[in-house]
Amino acid sequence: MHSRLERRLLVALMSFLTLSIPALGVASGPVQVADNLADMSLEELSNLQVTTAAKRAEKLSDVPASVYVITGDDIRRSGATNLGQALQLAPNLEVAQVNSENFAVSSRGFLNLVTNKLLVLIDGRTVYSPVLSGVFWNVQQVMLEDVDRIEVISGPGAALEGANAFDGVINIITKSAADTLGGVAIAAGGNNQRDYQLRYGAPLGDAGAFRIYAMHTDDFGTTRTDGASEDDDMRRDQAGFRYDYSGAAGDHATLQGDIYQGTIGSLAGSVEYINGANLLGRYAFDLHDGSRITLQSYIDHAEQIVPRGLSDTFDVFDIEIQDDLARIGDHNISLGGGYRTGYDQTPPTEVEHFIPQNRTLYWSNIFAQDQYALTQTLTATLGLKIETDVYTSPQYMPDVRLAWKPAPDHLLWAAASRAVRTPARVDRDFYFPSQPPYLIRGNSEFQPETGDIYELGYRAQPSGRFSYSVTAYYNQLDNLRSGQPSPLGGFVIANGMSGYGTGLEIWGNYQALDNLRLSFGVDEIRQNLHRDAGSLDPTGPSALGNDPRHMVKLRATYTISPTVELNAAFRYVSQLAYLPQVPAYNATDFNLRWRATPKLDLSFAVLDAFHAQHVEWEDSSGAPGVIPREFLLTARYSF
Amino acid sequence: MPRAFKRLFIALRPLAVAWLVCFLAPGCEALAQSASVPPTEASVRAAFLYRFLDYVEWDRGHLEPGQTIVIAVLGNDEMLDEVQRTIAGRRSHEHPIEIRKLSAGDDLTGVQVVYVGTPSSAAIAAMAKRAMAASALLVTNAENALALGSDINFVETDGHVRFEVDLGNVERSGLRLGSGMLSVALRVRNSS
Repeated sequence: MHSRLERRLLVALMSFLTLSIPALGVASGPVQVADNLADMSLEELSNLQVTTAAKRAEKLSDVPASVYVITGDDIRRSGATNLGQALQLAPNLEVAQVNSENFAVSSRGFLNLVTNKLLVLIDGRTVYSPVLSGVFWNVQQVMLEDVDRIEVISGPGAALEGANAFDGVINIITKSAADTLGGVAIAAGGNNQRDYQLRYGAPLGDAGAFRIYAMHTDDFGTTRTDGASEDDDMRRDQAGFRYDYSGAAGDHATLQGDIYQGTIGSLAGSVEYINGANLLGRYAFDLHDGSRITLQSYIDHAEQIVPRGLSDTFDVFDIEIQDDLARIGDHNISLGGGYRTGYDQTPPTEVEHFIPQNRTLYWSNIFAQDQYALTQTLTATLGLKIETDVYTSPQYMPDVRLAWKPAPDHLLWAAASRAVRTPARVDRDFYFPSQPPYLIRGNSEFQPETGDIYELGYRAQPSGRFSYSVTAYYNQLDNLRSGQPSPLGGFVIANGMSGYGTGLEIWGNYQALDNLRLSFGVDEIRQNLHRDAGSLDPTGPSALGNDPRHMVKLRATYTISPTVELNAAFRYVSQLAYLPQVPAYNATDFNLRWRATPKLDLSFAVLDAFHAQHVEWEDSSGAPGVIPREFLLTARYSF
Repeated sequence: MPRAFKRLFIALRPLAVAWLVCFLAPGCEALAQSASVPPTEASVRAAFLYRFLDYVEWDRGHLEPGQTIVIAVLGNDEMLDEVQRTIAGRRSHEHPIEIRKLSAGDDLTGVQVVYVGTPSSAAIAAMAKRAMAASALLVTNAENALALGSDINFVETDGHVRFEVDLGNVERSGLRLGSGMLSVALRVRNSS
């Protein structure tokens, strides 16, 4: 119980906000009906230059940014049962499993329990807590069976997204309802969890389709190194739907929603409750002049009640628009804007309170991006996003990218961007403990954290069997969050740290045999942060995050026969840089899938097969949660 | 779909764009239009599908002279529309062509070509077995699909639609492919 309490406090104290509205991931070239295509020869067809239906999604190989795509198949092959495990597949993400239900996830440093400068979207809906500025990975869940892909962009909001996130963007994208027709029932059970999932999809009308799903998860909970319970047992129910409509004129509409509730630590003295619901609509259509408009709006309700931590209820309304103009000469221009407003209620708990207790928040932004083909092989992308919020003056986030494509399968790129993490309620309105005298006070003068980020990358596919990507970056970081002794006693939150971070991200794929695919990834992270002159911060840079210096990930997928497939994944994470120190660890996961009949898949997964247990993350309690070896048997039946 | 809404938007759009442009980059409003629009990937794939018919030989029993060639499309409505738009009403030599939407459990008797539009490897592997048994040509659009039993798989490379062929799978389906097709393929493999 103690560890949970302290963990929640840590959550409250160390959270950061990166607010921005993503560029919508949907953009499509105009549809042209080409009567004469069918009269062309195979050779002529092969030489035709085409646009793709989902221009941006399918051309990720051309994006001048550090982008890794986890495909839905990768996830299903891996045996992952939650988003945290699925994200472990990305070589450019740091993922530390905290206990059976929670994860710390970061990119390019600042790994923390509620990490921090990383924007996360599920189907275009931001799942950042704009109060604590982080993602609660034990709250966010999707039916992994229906995930199309997860795009992981390390680095500031890539040119495609507009300049928005600080250290990365995770886009979790589920399949269109048209691609999930029919029923699927999944039951999984093991020594640490029990899951049931049910989905059914069917056509609706001439050009539409829908799906509905429901899932129940039961995590049994883990223990700490001192043998006490981690109080992390979790029961959770979630249900939702998605409807997609594709009109003949290329217009596409989506309506989707989810509802969930859960309890954490039901065996502990203080139970935590979570619940939430959201509804999102998106409509994209082409105009006669060849440009494409995407409109999106959503409402989202999220509530968590943590009696010995931080309780919060946030209701938000968001609307966004993007206009991808038809190509003008050598320019591809996108324009857009968005507005979001929310009402946040933070009732005092046993350990903290907010002043004011409730607050209306809003954000608005506009952005423009121009992709300019300087020559046949050289493209410049210029982007600018301007954002205002309830706390600060307008923030300008420019982004400049150059891409040189000397040959079809080679891309050299460079980028310079300004990233901003704007203040959150936890910086401005937060007080600890719940009664005076306060040890920590929010600061109404707290200013945005800023980063000037420089990247250089190279991506190539030298043969049909081998591809790789290398990215190096340098982050100049200023105005980082810290503490300063307050004349009123205790500490007040301040902008008192700075420094730089550098790193290297390398990954590749090799199709060794027709039935054997190998992947590798290396992530090197160096943070060099210090207190500013005059700062009397009590903890120093360790409060901002705790990163490994080296990470190595290897993966092999071996198709033994048309019905049997073995997936193996190995990851090594070096010792975390700061105290509390987590020793280096490695874990090897296996998943064996057998298509018993065309309708029935059986799979057996062993996670961390070679160790009885290991530790990936430690809070300040001195007794971190241990992640035990896990066995999981899954049956998947389609009908 | 909300047509009135769309009209309203179209009416308001110049205002919105003007606002954005003025806000962001005063004076860059003289925007010309570009005329030529390249075809979509889907329409080129549909055209390929039609052209493949020239190179495939089915055994008697699976395609009699003059019999209608049935192309069944699984999974992707957009692709089905595109195939219909591109091929409907055409003939392949003496054979009329029928295009059909296919659901996962449908019988493949009398189907000569199956196109699986989804990238789902489970769907492809399941369909591969049945297409092979029915001597239907299986065409897919997914990474690694040949290893799952596909005969012809589309690949997008640098803005071009190409295709790869597995002669082993073709042979096991009881089909033969003309060499003119193999010379254009991006890759030809021969799985055992």
